[in-house]
Amino acid sequence: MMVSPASVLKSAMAKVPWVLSLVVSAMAFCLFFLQTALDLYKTGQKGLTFVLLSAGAGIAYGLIVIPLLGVIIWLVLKLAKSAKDLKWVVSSLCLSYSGAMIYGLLGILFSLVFAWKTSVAFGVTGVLWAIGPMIIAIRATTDGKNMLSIPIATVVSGIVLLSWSLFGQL
Amino acid sequence: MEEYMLKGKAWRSLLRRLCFIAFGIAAFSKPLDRLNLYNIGFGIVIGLFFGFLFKKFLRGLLSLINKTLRKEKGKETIYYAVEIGMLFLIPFAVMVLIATYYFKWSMSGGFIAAGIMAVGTASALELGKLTGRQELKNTIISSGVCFLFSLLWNLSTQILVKVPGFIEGGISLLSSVFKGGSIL
Repeated sequence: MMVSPASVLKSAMAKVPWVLSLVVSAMAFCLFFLQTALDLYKTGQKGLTFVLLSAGAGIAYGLIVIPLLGVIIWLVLKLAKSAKDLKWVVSSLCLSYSGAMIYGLLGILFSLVFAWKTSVAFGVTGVLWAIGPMIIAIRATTDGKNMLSIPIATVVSGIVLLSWSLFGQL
Repeated sequence: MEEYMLKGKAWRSLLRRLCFIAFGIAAFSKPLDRLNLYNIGFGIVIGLFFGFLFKKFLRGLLSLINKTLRKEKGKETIYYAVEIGMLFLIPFAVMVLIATYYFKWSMSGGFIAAGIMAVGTASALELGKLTGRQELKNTIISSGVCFLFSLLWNLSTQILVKVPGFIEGGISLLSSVFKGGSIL
């Protein structure tokens, strides 16, 4: 990814089963939402039921909302005459959250073992680090056009951040 | 210089400056007074200055390690790659403004560090795209420069965050003196 993202993406996407990419985004958001709920649980604002429901909501978010955003991106790219198929776009969007999944795992570790509040430090950071791969993935579908990839990545990341904040206010 | 490099140059430059202005404003924003003009003004100045330094340093180092490319295609190729890489700051600039003004967070460092690091990777990738071959040295050098600058940003803002308060206090003091008031 760091050396030649387009070629790495092409070969990697051919090998990765699309279900696995959904598992990555589901796991990433499950861990992210779980950390948020644990932070609220630690301060006594929410109960244990909310923590369990949050994990489920995170899985649903990663399984439904992110692929749905992928479908919207695919439609936009289709208008821009991109030849990439829907599965490729959705899979690459979901896989761009693999860094967020790693941050999520570390966050849960620090949250449970050291009782840290990790939703912002690890959760939001993970979402931030997903922006780069997301831009690169979208750029690969548009033959390197930044005019599309950067605005799309901005909107997707903004939606994720804002919807997460709405979840925290529930 | 190739024609495509000139196309949109002014826009790229404007967007880069706006991103650093956003970073500066967010980093020096006062939690209890988000629209404080002293903090905003100071943030704009520091953001622009930092952005200028970052751009010069990154393209300077990339020029230094790509002597053959500089001779063959001119330094403008390297400058163009860095300019394109800087566009990767846009999502982070938007996110940091949302975090500062909508969520009222006071933690812009993570957003800015992630943005600066993304620039490093993007510049190296763009350079590889322009030359037709990806070189590891460009990725390593640009990532190293970006890491140093993100560290520099986070450390310097910790110290400089007090400056807008001093400026505001100094100006208030001077204005009260000029209006006929007394210091004592």
